[in-house]
Amino acid sequence: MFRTRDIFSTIPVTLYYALLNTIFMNVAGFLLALALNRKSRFTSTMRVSFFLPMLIAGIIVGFVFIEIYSPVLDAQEGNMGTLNAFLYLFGMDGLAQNWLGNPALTMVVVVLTGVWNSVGYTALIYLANMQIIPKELYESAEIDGAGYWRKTFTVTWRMVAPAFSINMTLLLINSLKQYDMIAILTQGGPGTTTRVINIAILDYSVSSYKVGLGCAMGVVVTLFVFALVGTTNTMLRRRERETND
Amino acid sequence: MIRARRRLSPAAVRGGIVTFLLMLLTAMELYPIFSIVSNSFKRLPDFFRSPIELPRRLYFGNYIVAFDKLHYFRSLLNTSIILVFSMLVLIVAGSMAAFIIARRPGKWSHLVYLFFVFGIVLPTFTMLVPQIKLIGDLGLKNNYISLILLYGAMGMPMSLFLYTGFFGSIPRELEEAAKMDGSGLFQTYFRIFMPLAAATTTTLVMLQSIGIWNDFVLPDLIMTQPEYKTLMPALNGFYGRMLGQGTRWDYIYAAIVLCILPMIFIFFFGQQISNTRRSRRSD
Repeated sequence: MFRTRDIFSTIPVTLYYALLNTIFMNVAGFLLALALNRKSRFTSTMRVSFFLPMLIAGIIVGFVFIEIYSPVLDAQEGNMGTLNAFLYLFGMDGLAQNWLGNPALTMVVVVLTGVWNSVGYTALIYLANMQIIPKELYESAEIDGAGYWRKTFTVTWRMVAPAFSINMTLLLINSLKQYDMIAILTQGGPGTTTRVINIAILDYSVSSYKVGLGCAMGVVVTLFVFALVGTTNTMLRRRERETND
Repeated sequence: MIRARRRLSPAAVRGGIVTFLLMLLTAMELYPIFSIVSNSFKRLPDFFRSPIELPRRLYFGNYIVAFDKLHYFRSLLNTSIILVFSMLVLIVAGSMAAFIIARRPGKWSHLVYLFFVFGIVLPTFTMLVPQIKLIGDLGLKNNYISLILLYGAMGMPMSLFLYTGFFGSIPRELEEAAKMDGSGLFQTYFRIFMPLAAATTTTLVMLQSIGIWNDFVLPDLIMTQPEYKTLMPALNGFYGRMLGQGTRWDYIYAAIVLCILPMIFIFFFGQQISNTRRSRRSD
């Protein structure tokens, strides 16, 4: 009984992670691409700097961010992890806390860590698409009296529909593949708030030798991937067709 | 003063704000990496006093410990062997299959293509248990071949996808001209198609080597004997030993730097190669 409840509790957690991750990555990636899609002396350096974290392994991201988020590093002294140290430095003591120990916050913190790690990839796909938008579209929008934000939403956002589709698909697949970083950062905790299905699969099939259960949950993940990617792809393709008309 | 303010157009103000925000974000993006390097040079008490302060003196002792406890050369060698040979499998087998799929189109080759590309969507964790079981049954645990075969198979969808896309875009006349000059199938593949696909190969190597280098779960489950451990499982074991009362973050950060550095070298080297090739082509 306990075991079945444990299995079913992982599914909403996994879907919640996938949802948050997809939203955060798309918003951050699009805005970042928008900002990088300008001619400036720094843009090429900045592109490299957003790409660099992607070279770092999930488990290393986990180790480093455990230190960054931790409230105390060493029990005997009054010291703290990097993030809290920065908050104290800027006089925002009230915000300092145990970032991975607060059940209401942990999932968002984990997702944001993932955004730090790989937002460059999402932004790169948007950027590649933005660079092939014909200039004439912006010019005619300007003649019609559109301001910057109006141009961004009516021209840029619509013209990057293909990149949006690619990003949605990749992000959904990658969200359901995520394991290393979450397993190291939270081990599924506090409680089961970040216990995504992959952590449960590895627990069952490796630690407690319930291989059949692990396989069955693996199949469930595959079904989710197909269902999610299938439905979003049909929706996105329809959307792309509508914007093209 | 007033004149200067009047000259600032809204677009210039917006540009300034965006640049400032971008710089802030870039700083946030780079800070953790900077912090890894900076903290790896500190003595432990200095680190505990403040993790954000710069090291007062560069202290290399952490690296000596990390080097020794990670069994760095052995782990690096294991990872490199697996990386190089699985890349060879991916490049050779993937491009050969893609060559036929792209240049001899038909119902069967399309079916084979779909079958492989389907693998891009398949989540890693679905295959994990059967993979471990298969490797165990074949008696390939603690053997380089196991991981080379697994990475070769798992990267094959991407390899086929990239090569088929590229080979499909090469004009038919090129292949026919080679045939007229008496070039056989293999010669056309080796002497004409593969050199043209150099950029695709670089992309494939860069994409896949990040994943292989950074993979943790598979090598951790398959390479159980210490002398076959790759870098990431070795780092994980090292981290586990350093936990506890007063975690030795100084050693951990040094070990992390040692594990990231080769990947960054590979990456910038690869980028350099593709940059010089691009500039040479445009000359």
